[in-house]
Amino acid sequence: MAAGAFEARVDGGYVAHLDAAERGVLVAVVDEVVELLGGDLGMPDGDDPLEMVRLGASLVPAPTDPALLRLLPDASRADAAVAAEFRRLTEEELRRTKVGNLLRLRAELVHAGPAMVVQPGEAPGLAAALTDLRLVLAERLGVSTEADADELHRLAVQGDPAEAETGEVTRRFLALVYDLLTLLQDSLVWLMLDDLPGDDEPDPRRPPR
Amino acid sequence: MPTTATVPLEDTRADAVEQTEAAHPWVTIVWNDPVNLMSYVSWVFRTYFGFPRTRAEHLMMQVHTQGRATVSHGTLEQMETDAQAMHGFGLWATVEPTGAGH
Repeated sequence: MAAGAFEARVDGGYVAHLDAAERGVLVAVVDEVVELLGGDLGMPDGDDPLEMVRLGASLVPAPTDPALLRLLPDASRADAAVAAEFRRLTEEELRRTKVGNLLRLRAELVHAGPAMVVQPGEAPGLAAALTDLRLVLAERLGVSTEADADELHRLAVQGDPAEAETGEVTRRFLALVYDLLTLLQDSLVWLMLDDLPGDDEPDPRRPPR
Repeated sequence: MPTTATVPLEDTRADAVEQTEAAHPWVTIVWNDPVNLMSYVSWVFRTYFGFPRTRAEHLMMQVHTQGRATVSHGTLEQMETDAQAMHGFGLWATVEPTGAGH
């Protein structure tokens, strides 16, 4: 059993084994991203249609924080008016969706104990939340190319020889967190793919179990 | 071969393109990034768009190797719905007029 990887349970659903330290770190990352998205910070209640109308009435500026912009990206590269209209119509709902997914993941982490059990119906929202955590971490760590991502993985696995002298351990630590999130998401998504109908042929890209 | 065709082949094709663009004036593009996993992109394409596995994986590989892929066609409103869904999954999608750029 690989630590952190999701596995199929015999009676349905998926399970990942995380120790208390791993769960604590992941909760902290979740909280940062929820705060970045403005969750629990006095956002209007979505049940009030008047509030939605008022929100929808004004233009919403694009985020200046690149990590938040990665979570709520522009929907047009060439047409600023299309991008602005898209943001006006969708941004609040997207924030709500993402915060909701993240808070469900947080609840799983807090209440799970060493075995985090995920029902198939919860898995898509969890996979989306794991994506958002990885997007923010990657942006903070300056990962903008596939080579950057490979380098981050190398740092997580091997460490940095210069680390002892510089005392620069934060990047290695975040690289390890990123690797754990990647392992959780990839293992969960392969199980979700296995459970889709009409998928009988083995996938050559599937990692060995 | 039928001999009753009166419209030159080239014109027929041009009409077909125009009709396609009239019915589907916008497209949704999904862009590559170094974070999203190939497994996840395939899963999103299969479950959200309902693509068969081979088509989903073809589009996923197109995103991965060419940097972008066109995943849907339709009205601006339909494409905004698709782009919003992609952003909800954490994929970066944009909308653009059909044939706008490659």
